[in-house]
Amino acid sequence: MSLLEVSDLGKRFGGVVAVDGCSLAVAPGSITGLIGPNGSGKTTLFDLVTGFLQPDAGEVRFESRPITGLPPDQVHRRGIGRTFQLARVFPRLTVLENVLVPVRRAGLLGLLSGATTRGEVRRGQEMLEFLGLTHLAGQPAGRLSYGQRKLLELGTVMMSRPRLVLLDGPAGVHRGAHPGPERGRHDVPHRGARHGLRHGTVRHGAGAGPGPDDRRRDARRGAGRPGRPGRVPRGMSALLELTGVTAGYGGGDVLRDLTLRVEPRSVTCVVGPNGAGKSTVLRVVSGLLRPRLGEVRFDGRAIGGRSPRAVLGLGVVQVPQERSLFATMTVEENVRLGAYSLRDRSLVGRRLREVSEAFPIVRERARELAASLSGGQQRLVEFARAMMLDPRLLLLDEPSMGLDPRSRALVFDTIRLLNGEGLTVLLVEQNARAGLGLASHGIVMEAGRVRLEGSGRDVLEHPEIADLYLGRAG
Amino acid sequence: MRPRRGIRWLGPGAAAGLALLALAVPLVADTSTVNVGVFTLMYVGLATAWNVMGGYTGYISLGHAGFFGIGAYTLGLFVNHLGVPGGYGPFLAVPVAGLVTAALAVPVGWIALRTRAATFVIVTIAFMFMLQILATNLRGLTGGSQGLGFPTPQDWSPDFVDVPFYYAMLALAAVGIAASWWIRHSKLGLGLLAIRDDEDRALSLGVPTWAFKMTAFVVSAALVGMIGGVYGYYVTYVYPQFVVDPLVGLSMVLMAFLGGTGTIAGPVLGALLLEPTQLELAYFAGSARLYLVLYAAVFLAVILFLPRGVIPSIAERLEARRAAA
Repeated sequence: MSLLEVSDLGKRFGGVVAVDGCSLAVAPGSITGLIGPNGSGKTTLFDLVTGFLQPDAGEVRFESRPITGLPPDQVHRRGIGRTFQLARVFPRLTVLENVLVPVRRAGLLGLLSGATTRGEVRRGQEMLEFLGLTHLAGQPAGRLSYGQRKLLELGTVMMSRPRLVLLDGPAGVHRGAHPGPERGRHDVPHRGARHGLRHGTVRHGAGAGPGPDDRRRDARRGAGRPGRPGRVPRGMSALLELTGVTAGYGGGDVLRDLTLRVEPRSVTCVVGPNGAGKSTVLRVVSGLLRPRLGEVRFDGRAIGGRSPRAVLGLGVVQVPQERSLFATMTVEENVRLGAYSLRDRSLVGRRLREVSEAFPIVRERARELAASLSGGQQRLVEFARAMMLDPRLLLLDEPSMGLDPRSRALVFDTIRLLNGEGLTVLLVEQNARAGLGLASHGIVMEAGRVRLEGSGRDVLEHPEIADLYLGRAG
Repeated sequence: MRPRRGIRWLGPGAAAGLALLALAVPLVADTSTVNVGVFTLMYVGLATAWNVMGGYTGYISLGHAGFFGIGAYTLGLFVNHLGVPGGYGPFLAVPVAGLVTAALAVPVGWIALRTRAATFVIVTIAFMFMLQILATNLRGLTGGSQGLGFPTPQDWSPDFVDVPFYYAMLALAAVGIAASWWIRHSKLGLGLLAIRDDEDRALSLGVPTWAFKMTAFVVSAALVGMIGGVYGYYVTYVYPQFVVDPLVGLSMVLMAFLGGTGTIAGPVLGALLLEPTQLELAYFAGSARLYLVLYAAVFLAVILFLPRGVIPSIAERLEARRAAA
């Protein structure tokens, strides 16, 4: 007998058929994968099953009882939990409060007797323990990184012990041996010498193995406060250089005495567990977050704490993690906006021609609304928009997020192409295999510090690291 | 990371101190101070009640003055019809004002809560003006623009007459704060806050959003209605334009925003800061309503510099200092 049975389900929006005669069955205890390219109706199907949309035709049965057309809260209380495509948490509630939200009993009684019981709070704490989020329990969930949000979202759904969970795009959660902030440092031996990798140190030049600078850094760390940024002797000119950067949001430091370099014409890929501070690195560089301590240099100039506009003016352009095209504007309008800060109209026209040359989609779909493009196409248009300023450094935050494999390949090919033309790229990527495979230089972050770095290939092939951060299977 | 001892007891300590002070005021202060106290406590109650809907649930109602008016008219009509003489009697009828307001809030909420965000704000404003027009035109019921009189207490001396109203407002403010505290610490409150943050996701987690929103709306309206009743009795005569007054509706919102919406102490603090200032300014500026200009300035300043209110801003600063230490 099936746990969930969907028969002949249909849904159309105006003239567009989103789901058409869809039938499927999910057996108890099974994991069923629902795959298909972006826009094939997967999310619509979830919305129909969970009551967010009313089907035009067909039936949904759960545990043999019809649930077609029930409102979402009742569907949940029948035992179906769901997550959303982009991690959705309650940003102003604390992390602990988030997991306590689910309501299992409805009715006046549940409402009035409703004070959160101790047992419930204990279960919530156990859930946070399991997710490795205990140290963040009192923080507003809005401060979590994307991966942590994803975990919290799933944990919240699991709190009401659903018998079926519908996970919309759960990829990107790498819980794999999720190291607490402290664990792991001792687990992974210094294998640097053999693999051309160095742990927790800055790499300058090609030399491997502990050098004098390591001792300096270690001595400094031993002395306690990560206060004064030590001078790392500057080798040949790095395009971007962070030295002893400490930065964070209201709830504490996310980056702790972080030092890293991005060489000109490189693709540097930052990977690491959720909450390691990967996205925060980009925010510090692009001026969205002012570092509390330390120095950020771009092309020799100190840019730490400068306004995002000023940083943009220097040629540092960021493509953010979330989809950022203006949905109700055309593709060309979106791309033109990339050059909003330029006054010279003929220059803007010239750039637009160049960019259309490099990104045919800009020319082909110029008059179409951005919202009509698939996820991968939107990413390309975002790249095109970033290229309008002829940047010297491109910051990419999780460019493959939410993309099907074909779109992802297209996006990575494009990054390779742009790099081939001399553009320097600093990339944060949850898909560590793809990211490091592409990168000339890989950096593994942990708890706000660089834990290990080397060539992209070396980092990727390092056995312990593969085990810890990348997950075993490809 | 637990707050330090001193900080942990700051809130309850301040609350206890304020409560004692509030109880003692009529014993030591002169009549005009008690009069300021009546209005200040009225707004403590109003802002707290508004916050249950506007702060916790995130549904900004600018029409709560309508419930204020319903409460005032209900109490007036009730005591007049039963012939309750002035004195302590009408206070006992205040819960009736609350019940009637709650009952009328149900159909209003039924309609208004079909909308979200900006549309909800506009629907609530429209509701308030409709009520004002009804109060003016249903002459047989409300006395129209001639107003509705309340019985007056005969044997209370001018020095004493404010004191019962002061304690009545204090009691209602206490009920409001208690309700706000209970809701904030209940599953209901958590559901409301979840609705504020992401209503669809709350729905997908089994939160019966419709019932929760309706409960918050009705509780909030009933509290405001009871306070409106006491207000009507205090001023002895109610007129449509003064008891269904957009300014009353805006003031409670402004106070909640100033102190910090979605917190328990925020609306209390906002009312304690703003209402005495407002009365003082009105006193100096006379009937010119010049104080409204300053009021608008405060509103703008809050939005610009303290968009989340005093309490969340201070809390954040304390936390940041602790985190940095």
